[in-house]
Amino acid sequence: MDDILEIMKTRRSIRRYKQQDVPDELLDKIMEAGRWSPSGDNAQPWRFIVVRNPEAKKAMGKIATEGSGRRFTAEYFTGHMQERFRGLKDEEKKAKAFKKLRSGAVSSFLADAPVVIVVCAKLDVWDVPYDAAMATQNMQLMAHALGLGTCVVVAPVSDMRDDIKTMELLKVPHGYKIVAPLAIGYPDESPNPRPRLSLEEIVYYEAFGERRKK
Amino acid sequence: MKESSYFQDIVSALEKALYYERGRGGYFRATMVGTDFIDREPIKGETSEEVIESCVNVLVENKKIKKATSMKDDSGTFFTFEIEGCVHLPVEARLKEEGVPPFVCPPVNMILYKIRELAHLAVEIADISVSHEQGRCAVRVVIFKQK
Repeated sequence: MDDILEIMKTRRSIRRYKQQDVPDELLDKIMEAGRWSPSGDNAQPWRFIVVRNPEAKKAMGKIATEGSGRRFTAEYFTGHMQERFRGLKDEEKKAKAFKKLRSGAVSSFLADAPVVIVVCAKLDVWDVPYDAAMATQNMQLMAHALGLGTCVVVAPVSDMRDDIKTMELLKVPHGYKIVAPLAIGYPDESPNPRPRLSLEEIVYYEAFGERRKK
Repeated sequence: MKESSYFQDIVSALEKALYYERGRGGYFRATMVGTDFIDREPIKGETSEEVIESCVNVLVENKKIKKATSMKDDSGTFFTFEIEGCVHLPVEARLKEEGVPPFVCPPVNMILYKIRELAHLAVEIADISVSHEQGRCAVRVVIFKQK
């Protein structure tokens, strides 16, 4: 049981990949992990589109870049971005981060991932987002266990304006939606763990806000 | 009960449902709300200013809003729209009572949708402030050329 916790704790969101092909056998294992996820009524609403075509990935990357660029430009002009980065004292690094966010380049790596598995879901079930999100998480953990890196990139589908374009690009029919494009490849970076809230900060007992009685 | 009050109840309930499902991300699912209406109207313009004027005229003529003004900052990117007498204001009042912050602005959605289509610029709502007492909203947006 410690092994699975170790896999969870060492997983990172990987945004830079080696230009090395990911064998089909490994992708099959990743999707097998998704297939065994829990779902309401055992509806199994997930469907997976494996995208290797460079043109399709490039188009998704463009949609993602534009979406993120709009969103972060808005965040910059309201001052919320500056507030979010208040802790970063290195002004040069801060300016670089702002530029990357405002240009949307933060999401453009989707085009460079060797493979993107687009997690879709059938809509005529009761628990679409929960089911599909659990499948995505299973797949991320499996990929990490196999030595692969992943990152969920919602930028091409979070906004309706972009979602429509991506659905058309991948020929996703009515009655289905895209939940999570998942970039996959061999990691070409090893990011440090991001800060985590402590259990004391997030756990209550019996009712929200109630701390453990000592 | 008047029809309009009935539909305000329905719309606010749907907005509340969306917010509780998606949180702040509900905004991104609602960026096209209102665009069906403006798509049926003869909006013209090649610059953002021209498109804004054309859309505002249509919205006022059709009694969706009483008045709208817009100002841009020195960067030329950050615009503030002030909208008075919007038909959606009672919906916002209901949402406020329910603790739901404003996250959908159909009139500005329409304007930005047309700016994107006709002036080929990137557009995004940055934030929405509603003043029920004064019967007006301030909506800050970015409009810019994306590289």
